[in-house]
Amino acid sequence: MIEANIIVITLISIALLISILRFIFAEEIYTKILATNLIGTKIVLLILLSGTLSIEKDFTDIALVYALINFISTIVILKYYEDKEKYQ
Amino acid sequence: MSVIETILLILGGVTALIGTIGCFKFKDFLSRTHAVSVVDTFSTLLIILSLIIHNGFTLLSIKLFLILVFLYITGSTAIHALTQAFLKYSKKEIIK
Amino acid sequence: MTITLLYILLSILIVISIYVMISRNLFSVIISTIIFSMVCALIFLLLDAIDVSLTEAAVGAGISTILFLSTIRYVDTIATNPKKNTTPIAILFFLLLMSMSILIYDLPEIGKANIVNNSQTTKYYINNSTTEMGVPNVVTSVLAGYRGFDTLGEVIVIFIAGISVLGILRNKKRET
Repeated sequence: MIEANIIVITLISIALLISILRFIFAEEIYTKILATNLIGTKIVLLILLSGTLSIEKDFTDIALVYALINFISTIVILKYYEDKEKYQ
Repeated sequence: MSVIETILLILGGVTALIGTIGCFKFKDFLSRTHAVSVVDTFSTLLIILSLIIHNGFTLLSIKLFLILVFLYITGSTAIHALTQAFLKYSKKEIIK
Repeated sequence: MTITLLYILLSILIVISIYVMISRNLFSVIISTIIFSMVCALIFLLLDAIDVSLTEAAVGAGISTILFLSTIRYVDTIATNPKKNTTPIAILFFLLLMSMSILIYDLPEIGKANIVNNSQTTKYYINNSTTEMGVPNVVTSVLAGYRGFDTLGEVIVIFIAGISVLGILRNKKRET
């Protein structure tokens, strides 16, 4: 009997692979930034779920730091893109 | 209460997969943001809710709840900023 | 299950590296380094090194991105084609990579008990770390407890790097 953990981890890994494909085969630059945000959120979910694979391990602090870094990197990319477009 | 956790976990996983396939298949940028932002927040809600039920009422559940609140606020804000940038600086014709 | 997840993540790393080599748009290459750094941090987490993964996420996806992006403001975002023929050098590097990959078969497995360099200090750390330091993770207790002065030196180096980055990134007044 396979547990629910393993099923969900495989599902989210497949979603991660499809996001990577979307990142590579994207024409515009905005789709790439969208895919980056999506990949960051999926990795946060994978961190939370891989803590349930083994007993007595919780990675909630690390997941919080990764969520912060994901948000900051998206906003920084947009800010520098706007600066480059304005002062071209 | 193991049945509720299993159902919530598997529903969250399937929702995340459906959202990502939707992002892959749509042809327009604005439709893709719609698929990503709506489905992403919903699947994180289901998965984190299942983990909170599994752990009971401890410090770990409060941290997970904080992660959920943070992901809600920042996820929506980032995609809103991205859409505003697209509408302002994109060179393609957008149907007003 | 952990091993399958590690294989999937390593294959993602290979795919992203090939994309970085082939792509001609510099902006998308910088965004690829963010993804590379996040996936690397997840791999470090699955291999039980939590401090390393925190540092990798903060430096790779935070500081590196800001430095690269503030540089590309002054440069064109389309890479120019190389002027000479680069095929012989590419073949040479590929042969070098293949010959160095043969060394992978000589490494011991992860977690094997009787490898060659299992010296007295390693046995002392594994036996006495939990009771002396009180930290459950052995890697953290070695980094912060037994070799604390090394960590102090690293923190000083990172602090100096941060200050110099702040000095470079000061906003000069633009002419309007």
